[in-house]
Amino acid sequence: MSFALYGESDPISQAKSIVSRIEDPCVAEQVERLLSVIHKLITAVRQVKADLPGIPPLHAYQSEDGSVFVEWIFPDFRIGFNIESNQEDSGWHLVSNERLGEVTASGQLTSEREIMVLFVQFVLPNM
Amino acid sequence: MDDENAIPFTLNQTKDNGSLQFKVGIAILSRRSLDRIKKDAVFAGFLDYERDQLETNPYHGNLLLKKDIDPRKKTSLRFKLAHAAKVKLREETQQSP
Repeated sequence: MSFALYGESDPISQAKSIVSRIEDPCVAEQVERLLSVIHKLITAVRQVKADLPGIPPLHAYQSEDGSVFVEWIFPDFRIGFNIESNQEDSGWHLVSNERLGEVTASGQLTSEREIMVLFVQFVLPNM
Repeated sequence: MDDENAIPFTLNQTKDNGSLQFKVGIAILSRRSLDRIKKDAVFAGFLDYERDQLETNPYHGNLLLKKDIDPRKKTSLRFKLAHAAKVKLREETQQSP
């Protein structure tokens, strides 16, 4: 699966680099799928919006219990994903600062749709 | 922050063996931010903090989290605290004149 992005540096490269080190195959598969969806979204938006501002990189790190956190940090908000061995426990989290109304929202990560909704309804308008 | 010594004191804290407690740097979270997060409807009643001075550390305290907090809420809180904090890396301090 190719993750190459043209133009600016690849925002998902750091997060992608830990996939090979994830011991739990279920967690690894979820992380790969998540990054693939985000990659497609970024690519699609870049094709439509040439003046898209710089996209911050995603960061991923593995915690002691084998779960993986993926964070996407913007100046006024942060999106996090916790990827667990039991997929039903995997989730997304959105937090913002005062400027964007101190948003705190979260949900289960059961399909690509949740990621797309987050991206379209919150990330794009507030980038 | 208690006073202007709180940050350098924390950065220079050492373990029993003399090595630095926080090798990379520290996160600074203001009381104002903590109070705001405490009042957040999502976390109200689950988060608190206390001062807990030690002989070796007059600035020491604890973040208190209720045991029965929902795991998803706990993860959201982690992200919320992380986003509210300012990171002070050790190399920034070393490079300062």
